[in-house]
Amino acid sequence: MSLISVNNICHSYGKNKVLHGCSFAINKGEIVALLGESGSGKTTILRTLAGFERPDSGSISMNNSLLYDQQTMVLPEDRNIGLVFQDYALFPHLNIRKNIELGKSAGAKRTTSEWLNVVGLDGLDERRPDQLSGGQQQRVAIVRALAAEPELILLDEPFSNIDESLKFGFRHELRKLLKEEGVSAVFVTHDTKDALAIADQIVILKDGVIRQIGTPETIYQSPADLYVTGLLGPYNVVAKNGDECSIIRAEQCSIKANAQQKGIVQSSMYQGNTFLIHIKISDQIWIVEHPVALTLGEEVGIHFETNNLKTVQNK
Amino acid sequence: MKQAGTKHSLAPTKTIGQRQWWIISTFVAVVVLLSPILALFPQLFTPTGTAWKNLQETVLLEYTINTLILIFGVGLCTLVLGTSLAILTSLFTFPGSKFLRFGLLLPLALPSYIAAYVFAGMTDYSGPLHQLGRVFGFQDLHFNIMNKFGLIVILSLVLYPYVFATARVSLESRYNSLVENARALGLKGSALLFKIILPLIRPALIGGLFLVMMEVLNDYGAMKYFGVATFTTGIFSAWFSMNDLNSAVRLAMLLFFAVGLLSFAESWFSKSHKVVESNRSSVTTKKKLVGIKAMLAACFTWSVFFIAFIAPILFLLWTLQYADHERAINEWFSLAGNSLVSGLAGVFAVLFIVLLTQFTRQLIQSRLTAVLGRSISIGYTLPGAIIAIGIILLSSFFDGILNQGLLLTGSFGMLIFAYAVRFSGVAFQPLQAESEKRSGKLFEAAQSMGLKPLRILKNIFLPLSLNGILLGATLVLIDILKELPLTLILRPSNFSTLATKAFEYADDELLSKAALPALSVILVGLIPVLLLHRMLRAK
Repeated sequence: MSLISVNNICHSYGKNKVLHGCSFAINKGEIVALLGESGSGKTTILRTLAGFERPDSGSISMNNSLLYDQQTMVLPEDRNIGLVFQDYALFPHLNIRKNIELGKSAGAKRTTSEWLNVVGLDGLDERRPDQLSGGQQQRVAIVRALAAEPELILLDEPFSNIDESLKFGFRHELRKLLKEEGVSAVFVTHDTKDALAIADQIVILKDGVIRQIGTPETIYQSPADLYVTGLLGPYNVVAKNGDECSIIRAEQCSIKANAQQKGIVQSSMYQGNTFLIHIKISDQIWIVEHPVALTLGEEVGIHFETNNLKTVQNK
Repeated sequence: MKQAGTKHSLAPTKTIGQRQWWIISTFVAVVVLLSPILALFPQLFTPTGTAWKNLQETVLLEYTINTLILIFGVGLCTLVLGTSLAILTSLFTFPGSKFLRFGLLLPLALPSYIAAYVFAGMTDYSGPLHQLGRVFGFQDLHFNIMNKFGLIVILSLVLYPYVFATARVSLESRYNSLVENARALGLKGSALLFKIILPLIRPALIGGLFLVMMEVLNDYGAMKYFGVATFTTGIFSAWFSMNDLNSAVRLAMLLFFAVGLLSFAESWFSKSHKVVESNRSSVTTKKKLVGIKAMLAACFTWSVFFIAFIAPILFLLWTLQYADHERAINEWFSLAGNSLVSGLAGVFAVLFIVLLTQFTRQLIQSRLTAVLGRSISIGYTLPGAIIAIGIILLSSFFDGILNQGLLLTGSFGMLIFAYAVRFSGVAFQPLQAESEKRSGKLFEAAQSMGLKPLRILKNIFLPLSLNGILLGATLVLIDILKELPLTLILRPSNFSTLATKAFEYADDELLSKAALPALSVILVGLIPVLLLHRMLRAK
């Protein structure tokens, strides 16, 4: 059963239209990623869900009751939707305990100390926000939102202030926490890896239009269009047919001496465990993942399995 | 329709109403606050009396010319004085230069009406200068400063710190590295001054100059004491001597127009001459002056400090000896009490309006709430006399409706109202600065945690604004204690404050009696100067 349903919302800042009729649903206990580049409208969707932006049209409902339509506007404090800000927005004048307790209702299922224990911050309840590290502040911000026992929690770029080396552990931790608490979550990110790692569903946005909604596997295996395909890594267009084209991913191509397609190596770019090889075939550049670097100017053959070809929208 | 969520029970339509209530109450509060200013406009369409025609034919030209002479005279003098002092103390060291960076701000504590009678008293025939002259055998020193040009000098001596302060900030925090660069490129002397330094600090100078000109337009006490007829004194005499409200309003509108023109010129100029500000603070290496240059610089700067600040204080202390001490002290307590009561009442009125508008602005972020939040500082850009006339208009209008005699006119409440109109902008600045410092997301965080507006007000807004509130309240209190024209026009009969009494005694040539209240006003006025100094250092 869906917890939230967003129907055809449009939004603009002044003359600048940022959302063009977006619709999607969030199921109970599900983690949804809003994935897109900056300016795609993902944060605006988050803010309309929280109640800080009033869409121009459309409707949003939660548990089948309206949060927003042309006649209704439930205020942020009455929505029971928590929000974790990118810069955490902890109250600087209150200690950690008071920060968390400000939004807690009487008869909450956990005490503040228990909450701090859940995220491994035992004994820090008397500290002020500025006495904590960035990572600790983020945990407080997440716990503060959870302690109010919302039905849905919104997270704005939760990994943007985390060091690359710590991200892996943090993604795992966040997913585990949300799943254990059984709370539904929507998080905004511009990093495909974040979305693939922790989301149950991914909503891909481009210029205020939803391009595709699906599980991480669906998004990877059956991308809707070239934009979505590109988000998940380099690809090659094999053939174009009107609005559609068939593509093959760079990692599904290989270099084979006896392959039919032949081209000249333009560059080899190291990317950790493999190389991305740019190969020129007539006037088109192909990208192929290959375990070793190739000599520039060398003629090579490109091979791929035809059953790996995918048909996507040409946009 | 069923309500979303389980913990909250307010119906959606009702909650929208709750938000509107904040906007409506803020809107009403702001309209009430600005009503004395708005009340002036319809008066323009009432038929003019013969009194106005008379005034137009006789003194209007004189008012205009005098006002212009004073604005430009004081403007030019403060510009030269403030800029040269700022350059000397910011870019060079010489004996005492470190102290003077602070000391040269101090004349700001002298209200111009006190400075006017102090300087007149000092140069008077029975004053210390003549006495000193006679000791050295000069029997007939003859100079009279009681004219426009004397007034220009005196106003410049107390107002130059505006230019000095803005130029100093500009020189020290922003452009020092550029000046050093220019030196490294081989520029020096007057080329450095005219090609690099002055163009760079020009926006700051314009800002300071604007403040000076506004102060000149606002001044009543000094002009009245020196008998120079300007718009402000004209408004007073139309109202007090001729009881001609119609002419007073018309003069006020002309003054209003002049202020608008000045503000427009200032904003146009600062926009078209914008210098890109660098946020990097540069380590200052000042050039050390030696020999004759050091002596000249020290002589010039120290004599400005001595003439503009030390001499007036010494003179006031000197005149104290002629006062009846017991009476003076008794009177002081009652005057200080009145000043404090009206000041504190004013502070509460100001805080109410400022906190309401700023809270609403942060709770409901929209163009309307932003405009409402900013518009409360309009009163601070207007001369007190304009606001006073607006208040009188309103009071007499409502007294006419109520038909209970003069219930509002000349009441304590209307005086406090006037303070709120004039000084809300003073408390607005520190509160605004305080809220800009912190993340704008805190209100949204609190809302998303389910906090209702009143709890946000109590738990988030007020505690976080405490510093701004305290600073704003202090500045407003001091401004009210120093304030003259509003209090003079609007106070209830037999209600005197330190400021009005100092002025009245001085106006009646009772300098010894004026000394104690005047010194008190100056002492109080030192507090914001100290704050300003700390702020400039922090920058």
